[in-house]
Amino acid sequence: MASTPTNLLQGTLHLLILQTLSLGDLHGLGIAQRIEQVTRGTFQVKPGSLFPALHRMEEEGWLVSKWGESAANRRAKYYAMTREGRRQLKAETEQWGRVSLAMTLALKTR
Amino acid sequence: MSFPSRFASWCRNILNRNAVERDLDEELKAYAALLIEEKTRAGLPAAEAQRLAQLELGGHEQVAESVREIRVGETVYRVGRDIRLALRMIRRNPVLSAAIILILGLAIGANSAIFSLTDSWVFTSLPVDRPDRLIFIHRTALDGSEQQNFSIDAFERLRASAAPVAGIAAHDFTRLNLEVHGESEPAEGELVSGNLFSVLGLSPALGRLLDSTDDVPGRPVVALISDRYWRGRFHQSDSILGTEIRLNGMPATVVGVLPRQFTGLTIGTAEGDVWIPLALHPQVALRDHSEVGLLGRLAPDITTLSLEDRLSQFYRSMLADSVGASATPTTTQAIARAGIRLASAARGQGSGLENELRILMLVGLLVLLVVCANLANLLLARAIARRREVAIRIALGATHGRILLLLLTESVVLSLLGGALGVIIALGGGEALAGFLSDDPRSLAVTVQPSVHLLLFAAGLSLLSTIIFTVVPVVSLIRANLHAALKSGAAGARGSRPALRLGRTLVVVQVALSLVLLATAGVLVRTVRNMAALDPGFDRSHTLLFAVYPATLGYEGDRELQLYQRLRHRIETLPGVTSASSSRWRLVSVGRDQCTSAQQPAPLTADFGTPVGPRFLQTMGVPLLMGREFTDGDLPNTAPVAILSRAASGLFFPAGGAIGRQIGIAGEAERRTVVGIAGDVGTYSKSPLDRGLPSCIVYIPTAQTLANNGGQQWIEVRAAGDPSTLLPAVRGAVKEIDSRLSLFWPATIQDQVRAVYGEQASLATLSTIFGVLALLFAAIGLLGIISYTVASRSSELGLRLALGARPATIAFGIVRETLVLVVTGVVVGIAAAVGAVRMTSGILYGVSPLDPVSLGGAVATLLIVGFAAAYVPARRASRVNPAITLRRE
Repeated sequence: MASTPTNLLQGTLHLLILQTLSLGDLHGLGIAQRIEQVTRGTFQVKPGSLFPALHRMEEEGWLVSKWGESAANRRAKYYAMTREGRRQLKAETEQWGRVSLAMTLALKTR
Repeated sequence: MSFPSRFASWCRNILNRNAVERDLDEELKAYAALLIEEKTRAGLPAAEAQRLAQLELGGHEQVAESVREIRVGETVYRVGRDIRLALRMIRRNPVLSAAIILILGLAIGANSAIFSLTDSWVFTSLPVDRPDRLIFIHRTALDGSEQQNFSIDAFERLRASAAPVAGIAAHDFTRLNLEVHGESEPAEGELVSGNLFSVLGLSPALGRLLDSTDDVPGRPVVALISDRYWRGRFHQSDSILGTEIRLNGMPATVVGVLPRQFTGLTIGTAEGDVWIPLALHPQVALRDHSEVGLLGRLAPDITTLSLEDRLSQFYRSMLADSVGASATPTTTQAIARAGIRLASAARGQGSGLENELRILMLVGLLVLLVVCANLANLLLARAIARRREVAIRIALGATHGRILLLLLTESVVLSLLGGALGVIIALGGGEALAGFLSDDPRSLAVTVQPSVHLLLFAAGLSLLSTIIFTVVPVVSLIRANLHAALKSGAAGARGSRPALRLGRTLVVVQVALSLVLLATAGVLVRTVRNMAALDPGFDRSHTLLFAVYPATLGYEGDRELQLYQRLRHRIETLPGVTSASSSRWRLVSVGRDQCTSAQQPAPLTADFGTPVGPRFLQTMGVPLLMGREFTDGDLPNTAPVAILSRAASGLFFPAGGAIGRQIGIAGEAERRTVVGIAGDVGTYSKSPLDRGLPSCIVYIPTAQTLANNGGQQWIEVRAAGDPSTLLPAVRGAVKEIDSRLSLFWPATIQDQVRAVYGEQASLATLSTIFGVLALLFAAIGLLGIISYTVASRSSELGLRLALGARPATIAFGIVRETLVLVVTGVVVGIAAAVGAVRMTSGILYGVSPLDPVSLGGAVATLLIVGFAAAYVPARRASRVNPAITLRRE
């Protein structure tokens, strides 16, 4: 079951990206692979949704980007979280906690 | 929270789009490169790695597009791109585009100017507190007629009644001779009850307004002046407060200035230079102001209807009281029918130009429609010419919606440019139009300003025209089979039958609208010609008139009479003057109703007489048919005499022989001897009904009826040559006799006559201009569509010529086709004109709204124009060279 790819909700992708970047700066491919890895393949982030999300978050001021070098000496665009993004992560995590608790409760009730 | 950041992104996305795009492109390429590298490192062959990476990426351009879609400011960018594209297309065809913008600008400008006048004259509310709660109080009198005036007594009693009204105020206008620092000049005065300004809810621009404590008989006279007068006469000086002025010789103190936007109870005219309390009128006013107009404010939560009911009951009980016990059944019935009528005062009193403006608006909109139909045809032709371009775009994957949007953007840009030009034209032309429509200099209170209303109106018109002249052709074009256009060659223009049919319909509409406009212009022009040709019965080319108000300077009785005599004699000594006289009224404004009850109550008694001075008939150029004129010898102590107009003589003495007979004037003790008979004088009434009919006039000597002169007199001066050049000398002569005398409304008799129908004349001129414009557009439209037909059928015509058809037959066919269009338009137009021209009936004179001459003239004009428009293309059709056209097939 863990390996079945699942579609992401729009807000969830933002939360996942923020969470991923809270551990350190990454480029786009790195972010996608890290998300796939930590969710054990449940979420596979396609470029068609990854890039719009990254650019939207950058426009919102949660992320900043700069060009850098990858491990293999290739040029890549790296994303880093801003203070604004950290605040957003905290708020969204709390929100997610409430939602998931509520969902769990609701589904347990028979 | 994130607004600053989003705004920064917005600016970057819009202003630095190339850099943003390049960055995105590189980022996606770098992503792909990283992906390929990883897959290669995992051991895949290079080609396979690239294929898989490509698959995973899902297309470079699609990902880039999905990023673009979420960008802030993307919509703005896309609209901007379409506009730039549209501007490029417009620039590619500069002459056509400029023509469209200019034509649209003129049409929208004319409409906006008319609209802004209407807006300021008809739709604007009085600039007072809650104008919607203000009402004018009118009454239905005992004789069933609608009256706007009340006696002061009735005003006081209505005001004291328990009716649910938040205040009733009274007003009346009066003429003032105003002296400031020893210089005198005429001024328009308003007599108002002390509570008027609190009923209106106004506050002063300077000083204070009037209140009830000022409005007490015998109090020192205080006055307000209008903002316009303050600016014009006192240069906006604050020291105006407390200034001593003299009103009709009475000292008065200026205590305040009215707010600038309040120019009186009539919107669009600056009435009332000076406002004074009503109770002081016996001290100041020239004439008896025992009757006033009433204005009220509804109490909160009271409807007009319920107040009307309450006031009517009160008014009927007032009437019943005044009749008392002597009431006959007839009177009781009349009282039951009498009552109070309330009319909304939100928009003030009418400017009197509502009819004219309504017609102008109709005319303007019709012209705009003609213009739109014409532009639709132009754009249709262009769209047909662009069918191949459009077809290629569709073949390359553009959707119909996208193409419609592009063409629409182009038209919207065109019409907005036209609309902007229109606003500029309206701003410049509106005031000129106002001046043109009304000779009254007081109308200058109207200013055409760039108001929100005006801009919205112009934008709305632009939009409307866009819809009419674009959507129709474009949709029909898209509906036509576009792919067919690609397949057919250059001669494929023949294909688009639906577009051609639409073009013909548009031409028919233009012809019909032109007919309506021409017919309207026709009846208006004929009205003006009829009025100008009206024989007034007096000479219109040699007389100068002005009014004096000597009562304002304390002239009374014999002194007043002597003043008139001195003025006449002094003016008669001036070089170039052949005679001078005086009269109570101007002949231009003498009504017809002097003899309405000629036979009753007493036989041979007129309702009233028209007081005139010696040599009046000679000065005015009215022929003396029999007997003699009044002379300086007809005095209070000589035998009472009268002169009858021919109409009056026919009425009183049908058998003739009036000279030497006796006639009475209602209210006079002694009967008068008829000493002369004068030629008839036509009536220049505003009401078309009795216009031009001979007035029944009983002239009496001014000297024998001094009490009826009201302390005012018109002085007529007859010149040997051009009367207008005499004015300075006449003014000098008047000032020589009394330097304080002001000359009111000096003008030649010709100008005064013209002023009576000046508005109709202006309207007729404007309608004619609009009508000719519409005709021109219709002719261009016809020419265009017929030429186009001929061009698209050239191969068919060539074939027919080659097969032996006679050129004349071909040409006749084209002419017939044109005339079918024109006749269809004419038939539709006559039906529309019958409806539209009826709107003008209120201001027509001597011509029916369905005047056959005007209508026939319009039809004939259109047929001639249609024939002319067909001539050129028909000639071309008959000269088609079969060899050339057939080779093209």
